[in-house]
Amino acid sequence: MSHVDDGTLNALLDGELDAAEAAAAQVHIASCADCARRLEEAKGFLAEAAELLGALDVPAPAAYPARRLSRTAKEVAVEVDGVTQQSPAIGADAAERLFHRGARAHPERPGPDYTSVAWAAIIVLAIGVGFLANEVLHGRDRAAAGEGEALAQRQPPAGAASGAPANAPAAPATQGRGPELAAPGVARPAAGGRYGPRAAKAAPGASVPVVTDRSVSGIGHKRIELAGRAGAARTVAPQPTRVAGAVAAPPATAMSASPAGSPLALQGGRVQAAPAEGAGSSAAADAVLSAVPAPPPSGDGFRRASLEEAVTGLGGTIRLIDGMTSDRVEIGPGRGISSADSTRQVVRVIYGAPGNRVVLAQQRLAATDAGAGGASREAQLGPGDLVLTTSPDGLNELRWTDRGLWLSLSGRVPADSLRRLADRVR
Amino acid sequence: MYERYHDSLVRLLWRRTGDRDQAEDLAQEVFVRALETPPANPKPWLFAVALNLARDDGRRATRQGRKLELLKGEHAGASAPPADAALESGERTEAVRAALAVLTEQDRAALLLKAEGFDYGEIAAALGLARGAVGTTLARARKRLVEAFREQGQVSHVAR
Repeated sequence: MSHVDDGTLNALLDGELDAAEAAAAQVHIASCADCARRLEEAKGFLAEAAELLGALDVPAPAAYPARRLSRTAKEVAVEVDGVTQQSPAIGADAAERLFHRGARAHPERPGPDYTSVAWAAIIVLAIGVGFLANEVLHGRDRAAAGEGEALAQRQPPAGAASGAPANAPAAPATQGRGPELAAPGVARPAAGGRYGPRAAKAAPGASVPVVTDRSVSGIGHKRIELAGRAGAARTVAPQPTRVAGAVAAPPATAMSASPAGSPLALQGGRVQAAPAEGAGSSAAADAVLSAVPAPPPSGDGFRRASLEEAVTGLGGTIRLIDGMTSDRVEIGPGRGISSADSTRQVVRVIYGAPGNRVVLAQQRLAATDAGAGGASREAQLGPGDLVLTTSPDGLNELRWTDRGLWLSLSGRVPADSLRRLADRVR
Repeated sequence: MYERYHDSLVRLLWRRTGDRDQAEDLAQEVFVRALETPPANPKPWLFAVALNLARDDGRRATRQGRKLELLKGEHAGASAPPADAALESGERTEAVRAALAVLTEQDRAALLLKAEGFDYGEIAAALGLARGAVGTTLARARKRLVEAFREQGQVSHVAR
């Protein structure tokens, strides 16, 4: 046998040769000083290379969780705390829960000291709120004084949201960093009623059964899977009816589009993909939307919102998919499901690239439904239940309730993937 | 898929980019892409996409170029690293990273994948190589990494 090449020596060391090849190589090496020496050399390189890679200062995977998520939660907590007086619906309690949610997520990790970040955030927030308050007040003064021109530039009509981005007023530097870091207060809703006491009654449409298309099978687990893949055929037929009849319900609204940019549109009773618009016009629209205080809702009533604003609209901690960065957060009218607290808004967190969204919609359940026996009006959706709705064109939706929240996760994603994503909703 | 590969993917990307935030961002991008077009064979697909993204990112930021310039500067004696510090803790990490940066994209990728427990068949699938070429690639990559690292040690000794 000729000499054993370096590739074969490495394959031998890596255990990648089959028995016959390994035996042949070893027979040769035993009788060839040169190959024996090269084998030892390869062994040395292999061990040292592995050691060098291991020295790349990389802690065990468990020690580096979704750092951005917890950091964002803390930043939000600071912002929430900073506006507590303005919005009693999210007081120190909400801030506390937000903060601890971030902290608890990975207790084993020492993590950086956020105190200085918190103080910096408070200072920035104070400056920002002062500046914005000044802007808003003066804006209103000017409007009252009839200075309509300046205001017209500042507040384009909803239909013109994608127009001239140059007119967007000094969009804050944080604007480009995504919804979770949108400047606090910039798009804060002006309506004071949102902060009022909860209405105990459910939405007017409470008697309308939303879910009619499910089969039930228990799996001896805390969750009850409904209409899994095997049940898909049963869910297909009622699907158009459900979607058509539920235009006002979150399962449908979650996937239907706002003209401002969601890639899915409700057409003829079926949810279909709509062409994605250009990133430029979308960015321009977002810049305008985020810079205008409480822009009028359009289309399905959803508009982009900051996390802090969404916390206010939802009335508590927003659920996110752990380990994933949201594309944006939207809020819309709380007219959704029958058992929801209609005084609260529906929040949807949108993940993924245009054309393939995963949407996590959520709404607070009405006070009477939030308890253990509650949530029953959402078609017997009790604690621990998971409803899967499938459609022949690949659009799947999971719905469940959890600690006073109604949740819906939908997208053109296999049901199994959706389920795994749902497991990571925190 | 996420639970199974996320940690490994982040570790590989972290080693590849030297930046944890960037690694996490890229890993998320990989999974988003996997959502868009679910791969038939997820493991090699995920890591191949991750390595491509890291490469493109690196090109954009020309980080590697800057690192190489720094290295050249050290070779020329223009900037002598502090004595004793060259191979200690953080410096050692930097030295390994710089040595890794000397390798070709393919050699580096093969090394990183092997370190994540890929077998030759999986490395071949991820990198578009023939299975028989993986041993040769790894042999070359290991040798170059070690030699590049040793070179830096000598540079630091000379500088001292």
